[in-house]
Amino acid sequence: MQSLQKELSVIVGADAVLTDPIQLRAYDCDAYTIEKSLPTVVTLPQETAQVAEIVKVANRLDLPVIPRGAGTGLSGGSLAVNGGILIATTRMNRILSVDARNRRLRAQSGAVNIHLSKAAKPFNLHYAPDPSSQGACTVGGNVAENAGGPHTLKYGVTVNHITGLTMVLPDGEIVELGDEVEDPGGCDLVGVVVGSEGTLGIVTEVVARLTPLPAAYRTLLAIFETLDDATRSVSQLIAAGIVPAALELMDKLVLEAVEAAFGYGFPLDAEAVLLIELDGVEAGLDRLQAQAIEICHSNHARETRIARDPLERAKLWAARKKAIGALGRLAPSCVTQDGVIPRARLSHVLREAGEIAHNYGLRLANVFHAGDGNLHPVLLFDDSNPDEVERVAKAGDEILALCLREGGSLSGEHGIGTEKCGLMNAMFSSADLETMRMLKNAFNPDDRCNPEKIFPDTRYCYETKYALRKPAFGL
Amino acid sequence: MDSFCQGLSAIVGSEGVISQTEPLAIAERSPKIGVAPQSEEEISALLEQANGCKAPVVVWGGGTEAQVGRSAVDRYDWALCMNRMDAILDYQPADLVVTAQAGMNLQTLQAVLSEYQQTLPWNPPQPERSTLGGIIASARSGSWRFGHGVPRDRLLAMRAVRGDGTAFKSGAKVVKSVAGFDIHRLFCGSRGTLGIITEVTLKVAPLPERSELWGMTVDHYDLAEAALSEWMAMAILPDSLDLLNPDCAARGGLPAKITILARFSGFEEAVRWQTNHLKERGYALQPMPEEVEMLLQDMPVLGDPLLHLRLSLKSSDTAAWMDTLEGTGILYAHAGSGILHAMAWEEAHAHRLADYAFAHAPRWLTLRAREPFHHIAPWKPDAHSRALTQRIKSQFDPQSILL
Repeated sequence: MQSLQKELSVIVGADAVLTDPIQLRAYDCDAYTIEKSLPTVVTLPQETAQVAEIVKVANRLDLPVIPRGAGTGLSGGSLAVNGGILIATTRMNRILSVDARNRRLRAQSGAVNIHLSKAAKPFNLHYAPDPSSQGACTVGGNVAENAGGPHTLKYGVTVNHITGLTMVLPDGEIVELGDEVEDPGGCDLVGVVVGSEGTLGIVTEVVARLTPLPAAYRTLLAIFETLDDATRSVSQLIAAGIVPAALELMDKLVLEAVEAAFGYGFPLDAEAVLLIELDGVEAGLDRLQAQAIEICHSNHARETRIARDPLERAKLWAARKKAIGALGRLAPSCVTQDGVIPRARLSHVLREAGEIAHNYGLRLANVFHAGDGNLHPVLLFDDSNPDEVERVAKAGDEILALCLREGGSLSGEHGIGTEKCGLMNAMFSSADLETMRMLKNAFNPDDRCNPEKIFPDTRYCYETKYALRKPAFGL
Repeated sequence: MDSFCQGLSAIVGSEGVISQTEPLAIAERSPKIGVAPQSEEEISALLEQANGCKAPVVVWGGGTEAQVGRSAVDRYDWALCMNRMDAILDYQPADLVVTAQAGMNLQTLQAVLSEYQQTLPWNPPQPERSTLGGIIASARSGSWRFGHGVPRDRLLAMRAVRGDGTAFKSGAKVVKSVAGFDIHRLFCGSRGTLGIITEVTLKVAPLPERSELWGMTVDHYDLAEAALSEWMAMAILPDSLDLLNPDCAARGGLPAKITILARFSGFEEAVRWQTNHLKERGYALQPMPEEVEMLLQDMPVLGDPLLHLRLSLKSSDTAAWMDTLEGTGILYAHAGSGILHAMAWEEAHAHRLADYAFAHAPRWLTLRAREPFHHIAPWKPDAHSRALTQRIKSQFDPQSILL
C-alpha cells in the first residue's frame, strides 16, 4: 500500500491521495446508500494527464479504477465493489471556455452542473439538463449517467447537449471524441459513451451545447383531490400536443414533507399537485397557459395557482428540487426508483405501485417527471431494520418489473450501476446484452474501468450483492 | 435460377430475389444479386449465409446515401434491400412515440403522423426515398436540425441485426431510458457497417399551428455573419438558420444574392412576434415561398455535382468560409449549426474546393465525388474515432462482410 501511495503521490501530489480508512469512508458509496464498499485508495487529480497516469499504474498493478464525480449518483455507479483506485474528479472543476457566439462551453468533467449555467448566464445562455442535484453533481457524472432533470421534457437529456468528450481509456490512452463542431462523420461514439456509466473509460473534459435562456415563463401549480386526476391531466396535456418545459408531479406524502421542511404553502389536504412550466417567447404563452389550465380543470383540478413573479417561481422549483431531501423528515432512509413508462399509462401504474408498497407494508411517496413518464417512487424505510430493507428491495424490484410489463425501462436517468444490474435480464435478451458486452470489449476488454456495473452476469450481482448490503447497515 | 439463388429464395421467397442489379451499383460495380427480406429473421438468415460464404453485403434503404463513403469497392456480392420492410409497427399518438420498420420512407410516415396533427421534424433530401433506417444510419439531417436536433436526438430505440447475423434491440419505447449502453446512438452514422437496422422507435412532435419561411438578402458575407451573430444571441427560436450564396439562392428560385433563411414555427402570435422583432431591429425580412426549402434540400441530388462536400465548421466561421469558397459553385449552409454543403460542377472549381477544405476544415464528409474525384477520402474523422470504430466493427462484424 505504501508503494502505491507513493507512486500515486508522485502523479497528483501527496494531498491528493487518500488511504486513511476514515477518509476512505466518505467514498464507500454514492447517494445509493444501501450498498457500501471501501476503495483501496482515493485519488484527486486535477488534469487529464494525471488521470491517464493513474490508470497506467492501475494497469501495471492489475487494480480496478472507479471514476466518481460528486457522489450524487443514485444507482451505485461509483461503488468500488472490489476495492481499487477510485478517481474522484472533484478537483477537475474548471470551466475552460465559454464560446457564446457558437453556444459551446468546454469544462473539466468535475465541474458542477450549475456552474456551467452560471458561466453561460451573462450571455443569456444556459446548460439545459438540470438534475435535482445540480448544485452538487458534476457534468462528468451527468455524462456517465446520461442525467436528466425536470426540464428535459422539452430540452432533452445530457446526450442531447454534449458534442465532444476527452476521455482516458482503460489502458491509459487519452482520446478526443467529437469537439465543438457538429456531425462526427462516422459512428456516434459520443452518443454511446454518454450513459455508459464510466465503464468505457473516464471522461475528463466535455464540450457542452448551450441553450438560450427562455425569454418568458409561465409556472403553474395545479392542485388535485386525487392522484388519478393529476395523472390523467398529464396524459391529456401530452396528447393535446402541449410540450411544457417541465411537468412534475408531487403526491400528498411529498407535500407533507416539503411543507414541514420549508413551509411554501402547499395544500396539505390535496392528494397531488402538478408543477407545470411553459416557456419560450412571451407571445403565445398566455394562450398555452389557458390550454393547460383548461385540461387540468377538465380533470377536476381544485385550483390552479400561477407564480406571479420570479421569486414565486424560484420557490416552487426549490420545493420540487429539495423534495426528496425533505422526505428525510418522514423516515431515516429512502430509496428512489427510476422506472419509465408510456405516459398514457401513468394512472394505472401509480395505482399498482401503491398496491405493491402497501402489500410490503411500506410507505411510498411519488415525486417525479410526469411529463416524461419517468417515475420516482420513493420507498421510505429504516435502514437499521434488515427485514424492512429486504422488503424495500423486493418492492422496488416489483415496481420496476411493473414498468417493464408496461413496455417501459428500468431507469430514466439514474442508471443501472450495481443497484439494478440484476434486473437487466428482465429488460434485455441475452443477445441484447451480448451486443452491449461487445461494445464494452472494444473499449474496456479487461474490465479495468468501473467493473461489476450494468451487466447482470457480473460476479457481483450473484455473489456479493447481499453480502455487501449487510455491513452497510452496521455502519 | 442457379442453386445459389435458390438458396436465397428459400430465405426471402422468389419475390425477394432481385436479379436486375444495375440500379444497385456502387462505384459503378453492380452486386451479384439483390435480396429484399421481409423480416428480421430473414435478415439474420441472410447474414449468416453471407458470413458462411464471406459474401460482402451492402444494405440499401432508399439508395440516397448508399454511395457515400464507398468510393471504391473491390468486391460486392449482395445488396440487401429494405424496401419490403416498410410498415408502422406501433404508433401511440397520445404518447408521441412511433415504431416503424426501417425501410419505411419518411414521406409515408409523415403522412400518417399528420392525420394526428403530429410530425417528425426532420427534413433530409428526398423524403419520398429516404428511409428511416437510412436517415439514422447516415445521420442525415436538413435545415431543421438547428431547432430540432439531428436524427439521434429523436431515436429512442432500435432493433438491428449485427454483421454476424445476431438480432438485438437497444433502448426502450419510452421517451427516456438509461438502461445499458445506447447502441442505437452508436449506429447513427454507422452507414450499415456494424449491422442492419430493422426497426426504429422515434419521438415525434406536435404539428405547429403555424410554420413560415422568412428570408433576407445581404451584400457581403461579413454582414451575414453580423446578422447571424446577433440573431443567435436574441430571444428568437427559429427551426432553421440557413445561409445561401448567390448561386444557391438562384437555384432555389430566389434572386441571386447572399440570402439568410429562417423558419419560425409555433403559435401564430409567437411566429408573428419573432418576425416583427427582427424587422423592428432593422432586418429587411420577407416571407419566402415554401417550396424554396424543398428545392434547396434536393438540389445536390437533382444537380448531380462533380464534388459535394459537407463541412463541419464553427457556426461563426461559416460565412467567412463561404466568402473564401465563393465562385466554386453552390454553397448552402445550415449556418446556425455550422454545416456547409459545398457543391462544384467544374473540375477547376472542385479542385479549389477540395484543396481548401481538406487543408482547413475541422471535419468533412464527401457526399458525392465523380471522376476524377472518385478516389478522394470519404471523410475526415479524428484518428481516435477511427481506431475505436474499427475495434467495435471487429466485434459486431468479425468477418467484415458489411461494406
